[in-house]
Amino acid sequence: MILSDREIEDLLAKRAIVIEPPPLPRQYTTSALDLTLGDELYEFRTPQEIQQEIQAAQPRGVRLSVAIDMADPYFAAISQKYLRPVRKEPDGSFLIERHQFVLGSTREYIKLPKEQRIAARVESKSTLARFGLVVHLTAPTVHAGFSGVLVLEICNLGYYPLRLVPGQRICQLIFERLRRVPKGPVRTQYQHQQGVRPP
Amino acid sequence: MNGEATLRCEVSLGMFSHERSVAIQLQDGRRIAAFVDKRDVKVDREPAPDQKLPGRVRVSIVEDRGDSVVVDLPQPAVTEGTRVTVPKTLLEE
Repeated sequence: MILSDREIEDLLAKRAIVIEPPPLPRQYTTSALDLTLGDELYEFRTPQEIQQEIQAAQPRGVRLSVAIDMADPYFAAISQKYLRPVRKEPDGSFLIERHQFVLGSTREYIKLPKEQRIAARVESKSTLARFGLVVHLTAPTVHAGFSGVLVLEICNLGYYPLRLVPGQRICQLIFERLRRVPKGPVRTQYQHQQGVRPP
Repeated sequence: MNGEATLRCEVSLGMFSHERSVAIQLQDGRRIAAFVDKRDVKVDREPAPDQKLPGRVRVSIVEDRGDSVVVDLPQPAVTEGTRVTVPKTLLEE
């Protein structure tokens, strides 16, 4: 069941779900809540740039792969090397070129406690989609229990460069109620915790 | 214990300033990575670029299996999803 604007407001008022900063009235539609674009966008550096960089430290004739190992537990540190911030225009906006792929995020922090039986889906705004702007790629689900800022996989599939302004409405969140409370959290005893010190 | 706990992990910077990357040891010995909001991470100081610091990430306990526990991470791991099995010795209140 998709929640209406009234139900979303009620949940927020009761702190059953958390959205920070709290949404303004204009962010509501009848059956969704618009979220706004955060202040950081990142783009991937080109494979050629990365290749040149990693080859510089290698002996002549040794060629390393630029492939990102998704199973590497330090994937994040590796991926940082592959990303760079998208330069802001003098007016603070971002210009997304045709076919450019960037990572962005919502300005809002979302928390959906499991016991509230609420999950959500992030979807594009139809007005932005008309111009070819995609804001997520095959990853719309915000699971019950999620907490964090939503990362957006933004791609300009249109014909023209598109200007995006931090704070503008960029996507919408559609809330759904689960029929049953998901598993956990369960109480447990940590019998083996003696002597374990916080790092 | 109310079902929420923290899990020992290694913490490094994430892609965005609002997130951190955590490396988590699973019960089967593998290590996995997840991006999580920095509010869900406890660490003594902010990691510098390329630095890995010991820290803890907030988890929700789903099932107690004796020496191991099934937990839900606040956000999905890169290769494993949200629900993972970890050694119980890595959990703290």
